[in-house]
Parts: sequence; C-alpha cells; structure tokens
Amino acid sequence: MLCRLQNVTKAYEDITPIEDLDLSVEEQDYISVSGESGAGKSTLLLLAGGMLTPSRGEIFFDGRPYSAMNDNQISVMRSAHIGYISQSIQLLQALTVEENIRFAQQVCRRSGFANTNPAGVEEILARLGLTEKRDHLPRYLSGGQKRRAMIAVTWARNPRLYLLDEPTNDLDEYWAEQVMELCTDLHASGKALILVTHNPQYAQRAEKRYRLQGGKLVEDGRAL
Amino acid sequence: MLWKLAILNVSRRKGAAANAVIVTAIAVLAAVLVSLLSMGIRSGLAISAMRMGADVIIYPKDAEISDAEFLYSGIPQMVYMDASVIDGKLPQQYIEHITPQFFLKTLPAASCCATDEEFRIVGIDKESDFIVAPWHNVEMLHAEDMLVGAHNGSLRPNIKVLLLGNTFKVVDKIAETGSAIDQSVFIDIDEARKIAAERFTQDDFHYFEKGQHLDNLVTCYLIKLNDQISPDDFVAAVKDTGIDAQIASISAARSQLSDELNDLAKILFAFTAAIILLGCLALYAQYVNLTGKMQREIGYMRSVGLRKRDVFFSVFLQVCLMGGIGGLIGGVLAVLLLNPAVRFLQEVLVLPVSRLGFGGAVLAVLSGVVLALLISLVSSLAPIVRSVGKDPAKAVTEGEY
Repeated sequence: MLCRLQNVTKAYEDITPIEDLDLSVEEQDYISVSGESGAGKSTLLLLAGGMLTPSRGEIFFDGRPYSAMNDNQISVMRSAHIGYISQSIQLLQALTVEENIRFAQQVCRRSGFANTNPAGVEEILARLGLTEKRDHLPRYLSGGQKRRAMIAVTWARNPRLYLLDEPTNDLDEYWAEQVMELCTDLHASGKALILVTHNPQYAQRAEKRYRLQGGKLVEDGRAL
Repeated sequence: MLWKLAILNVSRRKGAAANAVIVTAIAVLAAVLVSLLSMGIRSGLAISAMRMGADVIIYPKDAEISDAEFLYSGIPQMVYMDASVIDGKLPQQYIEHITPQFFLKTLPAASCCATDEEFRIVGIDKESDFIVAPWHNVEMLHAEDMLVGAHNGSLRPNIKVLLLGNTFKVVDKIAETGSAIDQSVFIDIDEARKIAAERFTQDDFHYFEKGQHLDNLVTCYLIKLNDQISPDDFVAAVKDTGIDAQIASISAARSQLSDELNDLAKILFAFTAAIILLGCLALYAQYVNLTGKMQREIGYMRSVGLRKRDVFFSVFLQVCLMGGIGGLIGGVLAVLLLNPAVRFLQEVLVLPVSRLGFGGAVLAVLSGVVLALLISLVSSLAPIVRSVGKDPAKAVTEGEY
C-alpha cells in the first residue's frame, strides 16, 4: 500500500473538516474526491502529503507512519515520491518556467532518488504547450499558463503519488482536457493519483470516486 | 542550486531587494564614515603627538589663534615678532633645542605646481631645526632647496618649482604627520624672509610700519626641553619674566585637545551605535515584510521536499547578498565622502586627521560589507526562522508569492 490514512481527524479551532477518516491508496490508484466548498478536500490532500499534521489518527506512506519520521525524513519522502499541485499558484518567481522545472528535478535528485521524468524537459514543455514560454518568468504568464507550468514542474519530478487540487482551475476547455488526458496517461504508466475536483465529468474518469461529507469519505452513498 | 536561486531572487526581483539594499547602504555609509572620521582623528592625534618634537611654543602677542590651532591645524597667520623677544627671558639650562620658524604665506589650491590643495610656505632655520629634521633625509638645506609635506601630491623630489618668483628644487618629501606639516612646504628661513621683502607690500605686511627689520622677524620659537623639565613649570617661569610674547606648553595643549577629541570620539561612537541600531530595526521591518511576501514561495519549497535548513539557507543567502551589496555601496560611498567630511569638520573644528590610503580604503569597504552582513544576520534571523518554521500547508496559503 502506497499511502494510508487511518482514523484521521483534523480539527481547527472552530471547524473539524476531517473526522475519523480512512483512506487507502494503492500504487496505480486513480481516486477522485469531490464535495462542497469547505468540505475539507484540500485538507485531505495536505494530510496525505505530510504537509499537515493530523489532530488524531495516523498516516502511513510506504508502510511508515509520518509520526515516526522527523521533518527531514518527511521532506525527503515528499521530494522523492509526492507531487502536490495546490489550488493557488505556486512557482518560484525568480525562475523561468524551464528553471522551475529543473530546480524541482534537482531537489528530487538531492533526496537520493534519481527517478525524475525520463520524458525530458523538452517533451514536458511541448505537451503542456509551454515551449515558447520556457524562458518566461511566472509573472509574465497568464493564469492558465502558470497552472500548466505547475503541472509541468510536478510531472517532471515523476512522483509516485500525485495530489491534484483542482488542477484544471484557470484552464480553458482545451487545456483542461489535455491535463485530464495527462492524468489518464500518468495512471496508465503506474502512478497513483488523488484528484480533487468540482467537475463531475472529470471525477468520473477516476477509478474510485469519493465524496467528502461530514468529514468522511463516501463512495456511492456508502461511508468507507 | 540554492546559491543560484538566491542570486536570481535578488537580480530578477530588484524591486523587492531594493529597499533592503538601500536601508543597509545608508546604515553602513553612516557607520563607516563616522568610524573613519573617529579613527582618522585618533590616528592624526597620535601621529602629531609622536612627531611634534617641541614641548613649548612661543608666538606673537597679537596672534589670535588658540594653542590647539598652532599645534595641529597649523592655521597660519602672518603674525610676527622680533627674534630678540626671547633675549634674556629663557632659562637656557633647561633647553635642549630651540628653533625659530617664519611663516611666509598660504598659497591657494592650483596656484602653483599643480597641487590640488592649498599649501603653506614656512621658513625653517637649517642650523637649529629639530621639528622637520627627523622626518627627511636631507643633511643640509641649501638656499634653493625645498622640503614638501606628504599631502603636496605633485611635488616630487628633484622637480623644480617656481614659487613667488623664485625657483626651488624639491629635495625630499616629509613623512606623513597628520598635522599641518603635511600641507606645508619648507624653505630656508632667510630665503623666506627674502621673498617676503620682495613680494609683500606694506598693506599685507604692516610690520614695516613698526620699523622692524625683516631679517629679525620670526613667527614662533619651538622649544624642546631637557627630559626632566616640566613644560608647565618652564612656561610659568618664562611668563614670570614678563616676556613680550605668548608662550604655551604644547603637551598641555595636546592633552587638552586630546581630552576634547576623546569626548568627540565618544559622541561619534554613540552616534554610530545609534545608527547601527536604527539600521537593524529598519532592516528587521524590511525582512518581516519580505519573508511575509515570500511566505507562499517558502511553503512551496517545503512542499517540493526542501528541508527547513535548505529553505533557511536559501532565504538567508538572499539576505546576505542584499546585505553585501548594500554594504559594498555604503562602504564605497563612505570612502568617497570621507575627504569632503574631513574638510567640512576642519572648517569648524581644529582637528588633526590622518589620511586614508588605498589599503585603508579597501579595508574600510570590506569592513562595511562585514558590518552589513552582521546587521543583516541580526535583523533577518527571527523573520526567516518564523517563516521557514511554519507548516508547509499554512505557509502555502499565506504571502503574495
């Protein structure tokens, strides 16, 4: 099992978006999570990625609990195995699109796992329509281009688990479709994906489709 | 990788870096300039004390200048007294050396010989001089010979100089003293009197009216006492004789001026400390602002797997670069502004200030860079630690970029 959330609760001062939640992610899983705004979908991804500490419960990656790892070990694990795309734009503003991609690959290599994408930077840029924008700083890109650049950076790292928080935000219909096709290809190549989306059509493409309700994941009306 | 990111963060986001660089440069400029002034004054004082061989000075009654001026700035006036004023007034058994000087004139900058500063022409007695003698290598000063102070840039040994209608040969350059000697040229006292007789009119040389003969005039006597004699006791004894001139103990004046300059140095030190403190506070505010804006980027770096210490290192490198650039700019400006600041101070205060050589200038700039790095470290540590220490999940939701 790649990643497992066991009886996980995440409580903030005035809200508990995740409560006694269980989720198992196998290699090659393609999971979609939908739900109302504020239901805790983004919190779920952050917990799975080890970027947020649960209030209760345990999260495992490759069988090892996050709680047993120190910050450095979690960082190494994240750089080597987890690709997270947030709802907000996250790129290093001083680096061009290509430099952002290479920087992320270098971080990945530093972790000791030389498993960066064999497709190469050229192919990644071409597939996401960024070849002509490779030397542009993020501030000179449109919202959609920035989103595609974020996807390119994550893809270039070639992680085992993709945590995708509304990856089609800011994208027009064409590029949204391209990104969803990329997700399908990634799944086909053996990667695990957790896709958070409001779009039911995109959610339908996943093998496992969950809704987040009352802090728990629900599959076809049944609680997991 | 992290080095490159830090460099690009500064070079490609100049707007974000500019404020920190400017604040650092201003703090370093003020601190280095004030420190250089303070050190220059102390050094000048020490050199003057070491090289001023006289213990006592006797100068004309109508000279309206302080002892300190005579000692250190050498602000010259065309005031004279008859050489015989000391006759029978000095207890010769206490005197090791005594020599007269004849101040001729101060020539303005560029009036002669392509010097870029004004300089004073002083006549010295080649037989008895003990003031300038230790600092040059000329055994006998001839009538046409000239010794030049350290700051008369273009007057090099062996060149000939046309001075007030007379040709002189520069025979040596005097070692730097930090005193008025550095801005002076020295010629034989008889030549100086001869030039005065040729060039001065009654308007600017009213001593003619008093019926005094030029050959008998001196500007001052400088006296070196035997080791066991107290200058203050000697001055008191001479005053008791009713000498028709002013007499002052150079050591007493030097001590008084030293006390005053020490007080000034303390004020300058306090001023420097205040500037550095204010600079640190201003920089702290800058870095709180900068790391706050970079919060999302810091969170992003954590989310792709950079360890806390890597992110800290990257942001800290960026701060060091900004600090280093600010320090370099501030240090260079301080060196460039030192001479105008010295000139300004010397217009309002009697100050011996030693000059800054090339090595000193480089050292000052390097000190500015080190100071900038230190205040950058102090000011940025807390904001960076706070920003880097946040949960990646929290960090990615904050900040502007």
